[in-house]
Amino acid sequence: MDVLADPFRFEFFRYGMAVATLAGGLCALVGTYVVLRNMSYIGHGLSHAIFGGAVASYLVGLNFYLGAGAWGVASALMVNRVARRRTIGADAAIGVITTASFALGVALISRTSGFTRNFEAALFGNVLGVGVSDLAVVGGVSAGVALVIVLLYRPFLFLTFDPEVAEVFGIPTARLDALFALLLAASVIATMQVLGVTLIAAALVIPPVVARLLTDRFRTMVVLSVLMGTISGFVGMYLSFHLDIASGAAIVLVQGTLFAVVYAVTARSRVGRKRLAGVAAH
Amino acid sequence: MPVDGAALATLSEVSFAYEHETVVVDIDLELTTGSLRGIVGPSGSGKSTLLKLLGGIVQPTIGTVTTAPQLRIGYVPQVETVNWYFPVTVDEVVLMGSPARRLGVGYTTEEKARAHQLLHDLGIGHFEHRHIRELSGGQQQRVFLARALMADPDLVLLDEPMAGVDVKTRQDVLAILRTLAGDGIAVVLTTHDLNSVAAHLPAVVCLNRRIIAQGPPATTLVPDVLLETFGAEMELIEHEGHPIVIDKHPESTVIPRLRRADGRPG
Repeated sequence: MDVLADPFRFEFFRYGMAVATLAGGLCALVGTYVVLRNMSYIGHGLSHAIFGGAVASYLVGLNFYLGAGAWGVASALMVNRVARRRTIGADAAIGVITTASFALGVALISRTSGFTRNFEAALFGNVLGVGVSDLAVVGGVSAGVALVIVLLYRPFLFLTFDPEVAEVFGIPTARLDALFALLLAASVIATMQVLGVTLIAAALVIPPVVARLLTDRFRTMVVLSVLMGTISGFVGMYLSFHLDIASGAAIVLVQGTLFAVVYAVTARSRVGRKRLAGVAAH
Repeated sequence: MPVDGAALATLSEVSFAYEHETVVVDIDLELTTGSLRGIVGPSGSGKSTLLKLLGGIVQPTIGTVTTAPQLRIGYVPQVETVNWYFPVTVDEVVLMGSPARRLGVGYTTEEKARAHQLLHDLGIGHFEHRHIRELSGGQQQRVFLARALMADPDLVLLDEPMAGVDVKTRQDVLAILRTLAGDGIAVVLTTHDLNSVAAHLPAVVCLNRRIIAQGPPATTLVPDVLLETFGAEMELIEHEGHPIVIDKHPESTVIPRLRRADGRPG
């Protein structure tokens, strides 16, 4: 029991554990829509784009959440605008926007001495610096995103399943697309510190994919995804503490293990194989 | 519901282009309550785009689309465009069509009862908790028709509802659509099935980027119109007052016989 209780003697771990657990659940919630809308690439790109804003705000002494937030909102709206055009070049255009922003962040860092440790933390996640204000931000964003998704469950479901037809049925798809882009940006910014830029995409994608392997019902998929994201955040933090590895990497490794186990089990059944085909289609 | 015979949607001199590619040109079309109309034309003739213009999915590049105030539209997409792997059951799909703009997760008892009744009326009530992928083509068509009807529509648009379904299902779907029109709902469908249009629908629109002809099948589905619409010669015979369209014998077409690699006739 000491192994489980010991880490809680440290304040940083208590904050880190709370933030990681919330971050895992938040990414899994938003990620369900990201996966089903085939937006995994956008989630990956957005996290990289926001990195540029995070570095720039650090260098000019601006609050991380303000700087990265403004940059993230601008990137999300730009990416959403490009994606909605549904032209052949949308992926390429998103790649240009997001990687250019990431490159700007790397360029700014390479000009700044003594930033290596923060650089690694931003890329791979680190909970050492997490304090009560970070917990408040992640908690607030998690509550806000969950509230919006619960309230707008019905139109978001229609939009995710069939965006073109949803418009005919009176769903304001353009406004909901923009709102979802903002929710995604807020989630990425809030979880960047604990998960790291390079691993957020995995935290967005793996729990929903595992949940998809286990159910054919949308609502059940959302619940299972959040449950798995939350548990992997919690377990990952323990691993991070005991194995002395980056928090983001530990959380994603737990999710990867979950995926491997569920994949191996479901691949044996006929229903499971059909769901696997479903995952491949997303 | 608008009054009988009232105009629900009017397209006036409508043209539409994707980027620089013109899809439909100079379309004039009026839909009234209780009208039942089939749009026929070759692939790429603009049939689906015409439905999208009526549904407000795309806006005309030139011309105007006027709809009745508070017009409710039900839309049945082409089955090829549906994501059959999406984790959603039959009842969940139908409930998406509910016109109520409620906040929160879940649906009211009344909405669930209405969805159940629609599925029952369409003969697929016992499939409501199945995943949509587990149904046959005809059953899947009915699910999306049920979703369209869940919206309590004045106008139902169906994109290729008879594609890939068997004869019995095709007849059933057309019977349902005739019933809807009898109830005052305007119905527009696109199809490649000329004989079903001729036998079951009171009006047809022949489209090949522009409207070649429109009116009752008996006077519209004539050789000259079909040649101009499809670019292929067809013969017509009459059966119980309906035209039946038959392809011309292949030997009369201008396509040369295939030759073998050694140059001899194939």
